[in-house]
Amino acid sequence: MTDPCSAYRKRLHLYLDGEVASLEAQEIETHLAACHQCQTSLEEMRSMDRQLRAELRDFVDGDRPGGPDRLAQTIERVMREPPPRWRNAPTDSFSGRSRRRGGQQDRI
Amino acid sequence: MDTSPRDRANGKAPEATAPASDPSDAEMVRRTLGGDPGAFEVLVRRYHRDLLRLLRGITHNFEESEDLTQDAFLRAYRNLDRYDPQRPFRPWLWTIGIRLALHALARKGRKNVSLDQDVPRLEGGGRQEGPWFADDRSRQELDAKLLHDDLMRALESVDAPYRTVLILRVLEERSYEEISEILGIPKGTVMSRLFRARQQLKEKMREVQ
Repeated sequence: MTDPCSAYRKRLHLYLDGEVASLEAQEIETHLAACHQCQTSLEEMRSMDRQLRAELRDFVDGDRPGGPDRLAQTIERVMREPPPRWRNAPTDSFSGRSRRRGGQQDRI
Repeated sequence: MDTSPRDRANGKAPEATAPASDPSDAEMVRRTLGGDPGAFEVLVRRYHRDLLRLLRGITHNFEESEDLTQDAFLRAYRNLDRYDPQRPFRPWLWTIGIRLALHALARKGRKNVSLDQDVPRLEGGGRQEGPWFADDRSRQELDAKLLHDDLMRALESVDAPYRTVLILRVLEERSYEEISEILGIPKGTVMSRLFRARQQLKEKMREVQ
């Protein structure tokens, strides 16, 4: 037998992320109002995201000895580089020199 | 008042960019390319912390993320004339940082990086009951700590490309469109990676708990 909720499973992620159009959101909300299983799934997903966001913030904002010095080191290292220049004649809103220095280019 | 589906489903934190009174990113780039390298320092100060947080989330390694953050600014500086001033600077910088991080992870041939150096783990790893708890608060604190460790371990074991999309969505609250632009992948790929990331995370959580 076909699971009547299977069509909604993937769309619940999109709904959770606010990535569905208004009309589709209304359709999902109508289904949610009548389906306890999908309500629970959505709540689990929302709860996991919330928990993950909180734990991730805690992790990435955690202090590390010497951490703040890295900003100064980064600035110092960048400032040791030859200054970048326009390689091609600038267009649109920018104006400046038309030629870049013959420095090293990285793939980015 | 009518609200968008995004607002209804999940609120979004305001984007951290230059305050209105400060010179724009594009102006700072223009000044840098015009011969004022000090202007780039403003951009480093503006985005260093946020980029470091993002790369910490992706690599799960404090020291490596600091090196990668520095490398990302250096690459951005060297290639500044490739930046399109009609587009926001931050996603461009993010693209550079994320690519460097994913390349570094791939080069080391690992999707798993030990968290032991950063997050102490108790012997046994699972929830523990016992008379050594002074009170309920101590128990709750330990439970919270273990949940944090479990979740970070589970996240760490999610494949790096999926994890990156998940971090951009959950930590930075980026839209699919923004993630698509930063990573240079179609929006449909963002959707499927995010779906897989959440599935993997759920499965890994079951395994580690």
